[in-house]
Amino acid sequence: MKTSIWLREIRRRANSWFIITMLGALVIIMPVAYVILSFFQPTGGNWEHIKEYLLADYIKGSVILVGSVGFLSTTIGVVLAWIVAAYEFPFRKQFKWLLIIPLAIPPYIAAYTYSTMTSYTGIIQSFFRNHFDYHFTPGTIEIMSLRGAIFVLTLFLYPYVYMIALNYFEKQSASYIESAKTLGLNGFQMFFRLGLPIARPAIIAGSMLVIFEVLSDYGVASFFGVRTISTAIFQTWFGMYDIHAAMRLAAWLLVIILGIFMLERFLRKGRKYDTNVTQSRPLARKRLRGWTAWVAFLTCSAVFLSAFLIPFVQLISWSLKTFEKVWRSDFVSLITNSLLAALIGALIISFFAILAARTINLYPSASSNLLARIMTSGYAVPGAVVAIGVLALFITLDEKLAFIYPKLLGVESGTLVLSMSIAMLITGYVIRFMAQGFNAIESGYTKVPPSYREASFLLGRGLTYTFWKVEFPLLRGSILIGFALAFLEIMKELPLTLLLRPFNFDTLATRTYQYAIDERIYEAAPSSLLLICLSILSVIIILKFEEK
Amino acid sequence: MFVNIQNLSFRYSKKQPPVIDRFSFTIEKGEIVGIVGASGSGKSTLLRLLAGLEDPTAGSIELNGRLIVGDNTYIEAEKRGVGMVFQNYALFPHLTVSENICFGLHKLKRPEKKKRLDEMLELVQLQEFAKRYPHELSGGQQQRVALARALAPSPSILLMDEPFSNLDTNLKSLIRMEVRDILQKANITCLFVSHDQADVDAICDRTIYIDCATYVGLEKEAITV
Ligand SMILES: Nc1ncnc2c1ncn2[C@@H]1O[C@H](COP(=O)(O)OP(=O)(O)O)[C@@H](O)[C@H]1O
Ligand SMILES: [Mg+2]
Repeated sequence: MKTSIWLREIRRRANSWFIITMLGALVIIMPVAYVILSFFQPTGGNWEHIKEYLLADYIKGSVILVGSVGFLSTTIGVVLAWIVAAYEFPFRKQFKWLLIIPLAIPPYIAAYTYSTMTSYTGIIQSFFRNHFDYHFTPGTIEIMSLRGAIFVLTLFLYPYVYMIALNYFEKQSASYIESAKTLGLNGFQMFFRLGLPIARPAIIAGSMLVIFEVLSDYGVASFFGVRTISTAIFQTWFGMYDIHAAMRLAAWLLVIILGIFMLERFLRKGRKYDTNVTQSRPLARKRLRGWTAWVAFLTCSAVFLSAFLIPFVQLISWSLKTFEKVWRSDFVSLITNSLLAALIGALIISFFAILAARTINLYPSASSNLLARIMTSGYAVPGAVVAIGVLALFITLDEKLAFIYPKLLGVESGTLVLSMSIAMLITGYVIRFMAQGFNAIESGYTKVPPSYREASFLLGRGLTYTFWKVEFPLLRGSILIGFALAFLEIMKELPLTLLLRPFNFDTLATRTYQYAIDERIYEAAPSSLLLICLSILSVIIILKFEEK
Repeated sequence: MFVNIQNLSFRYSKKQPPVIDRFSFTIEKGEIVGIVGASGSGKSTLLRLLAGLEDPTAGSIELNGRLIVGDNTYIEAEKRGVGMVFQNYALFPHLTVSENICFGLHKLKRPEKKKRLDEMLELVQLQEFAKRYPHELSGGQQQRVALARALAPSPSILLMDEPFSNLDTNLKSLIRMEVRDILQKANITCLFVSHDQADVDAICDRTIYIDCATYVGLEKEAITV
């Protein structure tokens, strides 16, 4: 191609939409890139110490947690999905969505709830003591330490696998399963020889979500005293204020995640989990009778009770005791802080998500795909890593800008401005939860064929007018969903908020966690309940969204 | 010459052969020209290049005495004054018939706009349907709305991409007549693309045949009927 034509192309595409989109993408990758760069930066004595004595432990902790929770929640998720997809039994329809609800309980809340319930003074032990005079040997039923972390994370993360596997079983496998029946396979054979292999890409996709959540977790691991890389990042920062050592840890966590991505590729062997499977015939379910129906019913009930109802009811009863007291303190300011941060964050996310989704839709190409990858990378990057990257970046910016602060803002020289501001927290949220907004809007664009936009251009309308009058009205629902999901994720987010919040800035999530580690369990209950109700809302939105 | 295309070349990606290779041809003012070719021969692509929805890798296009694409020139689609009826009509589903038709009339003041809308509705015989939404219309009616919408801003040329491919066969001949009448009344220069000879016979003054994707006309004389 001639240079002049090439230049003509560049001039054409360099419109303001495109430039702002690229700036947004830059902001999103900067912190993560900064963390990776830390491999090439010198570190001090702290890092040597961590590397020598602690790193192996941290990695071991993370790997054990990821391995066990990954395996257990995948098993539970797949088995439940199979039961619900392939069999007919009492209350199957209700269980189908009830089994997703545990997703609405943030695991760190479940952690303190379960640990308290099973402790010596908790409801279970006191019940047996008072009614049957039965004393448990200490350490038998308590949900604590590593096994507690595994228990809680498994129980509250399995729905990721369940949802995806169920969707796959229901929509994909009907014809296979029917032909298998004619071949005379029984239920177990069908599960192991058909269901599992067919759904493998979906199951792996679900497990990946669980694994990212586990690697991202700070609340559960730190509550139970399990040493993971995420908790180590916190200790390094809050214990030593050594940003370089913290960045090194974060970089190592990224290496692990990269390894997991490669493992996933290998396991899928090129097969892709296709979320847009066309609805073929629904699976004809086998009706269970007698004891088999009871087994199915009791399995689903047991999971739903322990992964939702029991902790939920316990939280309600604790809340009733302390609501008055908690309400009278600064509860309202917690709510406003949470709402405000989530509102600003979700607005910015929606803004950039629209820009990026549109750029990709407007100029489909290899670089657009890269842009899509960047926009959604946050979901795989643990909150603590994002936070450390943002923190390091803002501290560096403060150092570089220190000379103009006194003149510009009239503050004393040496004052930290950016790294003490709520802007830092919001930046972290935007990076971490961009994927929520972006995915919703991108899939919304499937309802807007390019010819609508082209027709508008040919009628003499520019990019901006076309967006507001043609694309926006058709995308409104998707934008709203993306906004709501990002909003609710931000409300719940703990690790990132703990690391990036300005001094004295508390949200519902941070206060709940603070109460929990201070053993003021009852006082943590009302804010926990509020968070759970908000999360249920987001689960409902996801479900509605999936239905379409 | 009203439309003058010289040595136009285009490919969708570097890996594929050119869809259009050094294609040249001209159209006079007021002509209704048909392009016939098999599916995949590059007819839609040619229209998209004229409309400004794709950028050619080489060649130039002049329209109404103005260079719209050249080595250093690229007039954006929205500034070309080209009207187009898309294969699927691309009517905006959230706007009514009259809102669709008025969409491109932003240069007119309100009373003129109203007048132009009425003219267009009358031209395509859809006065009673002004308040309906596209999904409340039949295929033939949708097509007439698309035609009215494209003609409303008085484009210098109208491009039509397989306008009859979405219609029932038994309706086709009737609708062809309607479209021809509308085009004649509107007195517009039109480039019309179809894979069906009968469409072109019914409507066009002159036909160009495209044989295969890599051999579009070339510099040789386009076959003229
Ligand atoms: N967006 C696109 N990307 C890549 N190739 C395309 C695209 N659109 C069309 N093509 C290819 O270009 C050729 C010409 O397509 P088109 O102009 O749509 O043909 P026609 O309208 O004559 O059926 C075909 O081989 C088609 O596969
Ligand atoms: Mg075509």
